[in-house]
Amino acid sequence: MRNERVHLVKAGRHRQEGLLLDPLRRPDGALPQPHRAARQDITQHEGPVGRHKPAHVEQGNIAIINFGYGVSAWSECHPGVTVCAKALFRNGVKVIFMGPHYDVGLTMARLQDTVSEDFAGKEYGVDWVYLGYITGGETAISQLANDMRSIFPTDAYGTPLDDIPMMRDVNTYAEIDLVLSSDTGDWGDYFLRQWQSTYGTRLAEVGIAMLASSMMPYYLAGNLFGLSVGSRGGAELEALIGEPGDATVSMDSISLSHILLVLAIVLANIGYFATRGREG
Amino acid sequence: MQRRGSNWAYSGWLIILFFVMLLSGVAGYAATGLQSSNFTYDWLFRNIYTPLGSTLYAITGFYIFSAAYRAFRARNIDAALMLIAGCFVIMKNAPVGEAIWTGFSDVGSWFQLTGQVPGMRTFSLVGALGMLAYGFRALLGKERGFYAGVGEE
Repeated sequence: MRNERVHLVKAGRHRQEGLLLDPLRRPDGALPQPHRAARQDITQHEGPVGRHKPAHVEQGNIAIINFGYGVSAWSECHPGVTVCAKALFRNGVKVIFMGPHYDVGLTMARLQDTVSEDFAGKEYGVDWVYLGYITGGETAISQLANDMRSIFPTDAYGTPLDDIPMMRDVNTYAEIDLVLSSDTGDWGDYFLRQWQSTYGTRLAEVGIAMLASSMMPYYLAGNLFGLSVGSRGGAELEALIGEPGDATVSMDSISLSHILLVLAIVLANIGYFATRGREG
Repeated sequence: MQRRGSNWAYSGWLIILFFVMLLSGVAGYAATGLQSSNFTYDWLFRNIYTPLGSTLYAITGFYIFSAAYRAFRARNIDAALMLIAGCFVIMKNAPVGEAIWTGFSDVGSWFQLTGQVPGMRTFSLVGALGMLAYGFRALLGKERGFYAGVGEE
């Protein structure tokens, strides 16, 4: 399925578009793709003010990927998380998956599907672990930094953390090298306040497009080492690893919908001024 | 439902679906010990809840489109500036914008980094200072309206 989609993306670039709405009918990444994967990608080492800690990871590092989004935001958040999970696995990083959204089980299952090739080479409990649903808001995130076992006595399947090889020596923020929070809401802020600003944990945000406004100041200040927003950010990340996927395909509809929006605004203003001139 | 108000049938449908999801989840858990391996629950979630969730989220796009058509009018100089900045940011975020004119990205980024980001910083700082002030007032007993059910002194 995925190979077919990639093939479509490649083929689509050479296809002559007959209809303006064709990319909406058959989205295949044929329209221009983001080529300035620039200021918002998660692998960037130096921010605009040059104060970002390097996004460098080493084999054996431990990262947390926090699913703060549900099914409705899969199109925006999931491609970026998919790329990040691939990048972490391929660099030998051990990953802890968890999430505060009630769809976390579905999202985890989807990630195992979209990153199936990389999961296949990894062993559960040694290379990755799935802790499941977390509730309790900012208080829980604060407690998680100091005593993970008080929040997650077991993983999502009921195995005590002490019986999971990867988790035996992991219980506080000190053992975590990196946090990637992907959100539609405030969970990135909780990690920002309770982990990054308190303990200096490296933090990146993979959020919906709306979060660009609230997170950009923290990215520019160096609190976040990376920021990927919306499906556009996901497409940029896919371009960076050279594996076009869902986000790249969705750029067709993003491009067309944005153009139509601007056209609607222009037409509305032409009508407004024409009517006003007539009335005047 | 008892009052038979408008669209009461939807309320009935909601209650039916509530019990369907509850029973399928509980039955699956009782049978397997794992909620995630329950076929019925998974099927309902994947084939009904998931598409509905995506659809609801996508519908907001039509509201934004409608709101932009009706509200984005250059009625005065402030609205005109907002309109221009908004259009540049929209075109900056669309990959095709850069293909039409690379300046969309530069100008849109300029609007974002020199216009929106300082505004957001101000908003955050003012909000934090406001919370500090509120905290002091609450500690001093001058902000009792919210939790004591009385008005401000």
